[in-house]
Amino acid sequence: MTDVTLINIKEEILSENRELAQELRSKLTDRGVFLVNYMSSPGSGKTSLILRTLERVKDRFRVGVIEGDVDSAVDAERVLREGFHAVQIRTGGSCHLTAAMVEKGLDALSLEAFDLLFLENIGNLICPAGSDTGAHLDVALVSVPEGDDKPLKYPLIFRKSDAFIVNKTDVLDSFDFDLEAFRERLRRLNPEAPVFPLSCRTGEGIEEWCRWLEDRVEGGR
Amino acid sequence: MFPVPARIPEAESSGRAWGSGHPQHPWNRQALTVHELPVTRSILEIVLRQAESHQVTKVVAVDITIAALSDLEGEWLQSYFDHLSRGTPAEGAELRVRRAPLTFRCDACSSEFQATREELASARCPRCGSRDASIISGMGYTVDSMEAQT
Repeated sequence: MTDVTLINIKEEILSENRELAQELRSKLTDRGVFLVNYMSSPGSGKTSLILRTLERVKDRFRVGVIEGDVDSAVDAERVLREGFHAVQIRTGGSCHLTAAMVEKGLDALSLEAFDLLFLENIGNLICPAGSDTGAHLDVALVSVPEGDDKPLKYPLIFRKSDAFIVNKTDVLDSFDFDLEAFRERLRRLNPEAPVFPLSCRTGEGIEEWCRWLEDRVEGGR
Repeated sequence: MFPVPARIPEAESSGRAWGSGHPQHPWNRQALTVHELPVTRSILEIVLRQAESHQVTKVVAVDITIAALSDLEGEWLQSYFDHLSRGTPAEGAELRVRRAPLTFRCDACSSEFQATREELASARCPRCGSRDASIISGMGYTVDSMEAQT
């Protein structure tokens, strides 16, 4: 008869990804490149926000985009059409970007040519929250039609992110989105992170967001 | 205009643990469709590494802690684990999942207290009644221990 023994382990799951992400972050910092990770549901306006922001910061920083998508290059093509550098990572079914995927995306760019890179993660509020990408700054977007209850339903991503965007404020009148209730729910999860209500369509609020981002980039490079 | 580069390859497995070098092994197929799968792969890697160093012949059960804010489902973890562990000493092992509570620290009186995920928005400090509290733990996940035959 064989004995069953208890083996103590206490090991963190997915520590490999976290370690690679930390390596990437140090490498980028050493090269003077600042990486921003954008996360949201599909259709919240990640690509639109990235384009608006690129337009506003392109004279100050040398900018580029790494687009993550399950199996299309639609977003990268849109960024390229606007005249910006972009590379596409296709995850082939994976619901979030891992540090290893981001590393391949970075390898496809000449890092010497950039000061500021934007990473567009796969559109969902669950999976990207669990995987460090190596970015210096994690930004989560929520759009007005999605509702103000998202921090209650997907707390991890709202706990983990460094800044929040509420996009599509131009349609606030047509929806029940309560900005104060949203801020209150966030405050418990993440009291330090700023909230930027804005509209990529009208440009309202973009200025304030970009000023804050520029300060973070200058301070972090 | 800049060309859209050709398909960037999938991230490959680390190759550290059992069987991951084989192209037909499930870890190396493009099958990472939900977040439970990479997590399960990481659990199995940890378990098999420990099994090897302790000269284990069969893993009976694995104890895992998942933090309250994580969206992982124990049922899916078990089903992926059953699939990935086939042919390894961990085949047939039961995953025993423990949900760790959220820990808050009261902003007013600094005392620490616990709450469930459902109480996230409503939890109050049991000592002073303040609603202002910060989460100090509730995110990660760990493999705690395993029962095995040697």
